[in-house]
Order: sequence, then structure tokens, then C-alpha cells
Amino acid sequence: MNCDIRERRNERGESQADLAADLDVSRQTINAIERDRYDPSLELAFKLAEHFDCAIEDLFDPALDEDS
Amino acid sequence: MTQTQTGLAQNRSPKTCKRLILALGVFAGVSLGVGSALQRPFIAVGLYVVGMTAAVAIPYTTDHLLFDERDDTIHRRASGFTMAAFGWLSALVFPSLVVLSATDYFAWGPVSVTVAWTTAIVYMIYGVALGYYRGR
Repeated sequence: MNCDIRERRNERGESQADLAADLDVSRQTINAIERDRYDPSLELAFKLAEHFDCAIEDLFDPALDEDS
Repeated sequence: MTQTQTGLAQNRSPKTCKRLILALGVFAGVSLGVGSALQRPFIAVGLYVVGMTAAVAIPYTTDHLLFDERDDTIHRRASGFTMAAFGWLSALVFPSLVVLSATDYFAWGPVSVTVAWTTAIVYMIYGVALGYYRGR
């Protein structure tokens, strides 16, 4: 699942460790989400949306095919 | 970070703490196996208890978050793969052994019977757990 968390985090000048600490997850989890290697739980997705003050669908793009 | 870390986890990064937990778990398991094989049961169990206790204690002695939802997801995927692989292997091996036994090419011994019972019990527990979590 594509996401723009890295861009939003960089805009705020936050490190992965800062974001991880705020969301109560490990830095490796933030890194994995940013690198599209892990899809967060719904709970964590809501926390991310709240952190960046936006909707979940603004953060994540399921990158579905146009035909699907 | 606050300075409340104690013992083995003191001043260690989360990655080091995780590796320490893994190493202690392996040490405990190997100690139990080797100690038993060498006819030193009390030393084996003593080392096992020390190793496992230290491994279990580490998350409580560090301020780092060592395990989160991603670790849980990885664990569930690994468990699922293990159960699937074990299931397919059992589905092939045990019927084959029954046929070989019926044709006198194989004789059930204590080891094969124990493995068969263990497999059956593992899948019975899996079935009960599956029913429980489906019903929740």
C-alpha cells in the first residue's frame, strides 16, 4: 500500500524515532510502513491519521488497478 | 530515555535487546537438550530456567519498546507457515507410513508413534483454538 508518511514526516522535521515514540510503536515499524513493507493495523492507521491531522485515505493509497 | 534500565538490558539498543532475548532463548533450549543428552538433568534444567528467566525479564527491564503490532503480525505469519508446512508434511508422511506398515516395509516404533501422537495433539489443540477464535 502506497503512503506519503515519509514526505509528511519530513515536512514536519520529525525523525522516524520521534514518530514511533509518539505512536507507541518501534522505529522499525515506521520504517517498514514508509518502505511499503508493512501495512499497519486499522488502529495504527487511525493514530497516524490523527498525528498528521488528516484522513486515513489521505495517507494511504491502496494502489488498486483501475479495472479492479 | 529515562535512566531506569537495569541489568542485562542496561544501555542497550532495542535491536541488541531483541538479539539478547533470542540468544538467551537459544542458550536455554540448547542447554536443556545437551544437558539431557549428557545425563546432567539438573544442570540442564537449571541453565534452562536461568536462560528463559533472563529472556522473559529483559522486556521488563528496558524502557525501549521491543515488540509491537508488526512483531505480532510477523509471528502470526511465521506460525501460519509452520502449521501449513507441518500439516502438508503430516498429510504426506503418515498415510505413507500406514501403507508401508500394512505392507511390512515399515514397523511403528516408539519414536514414530510419539511423533504421530504429538502431531495429532498439536492439530487437536489447533482445532480447539480455531473453534474458540471463530466463536468469539
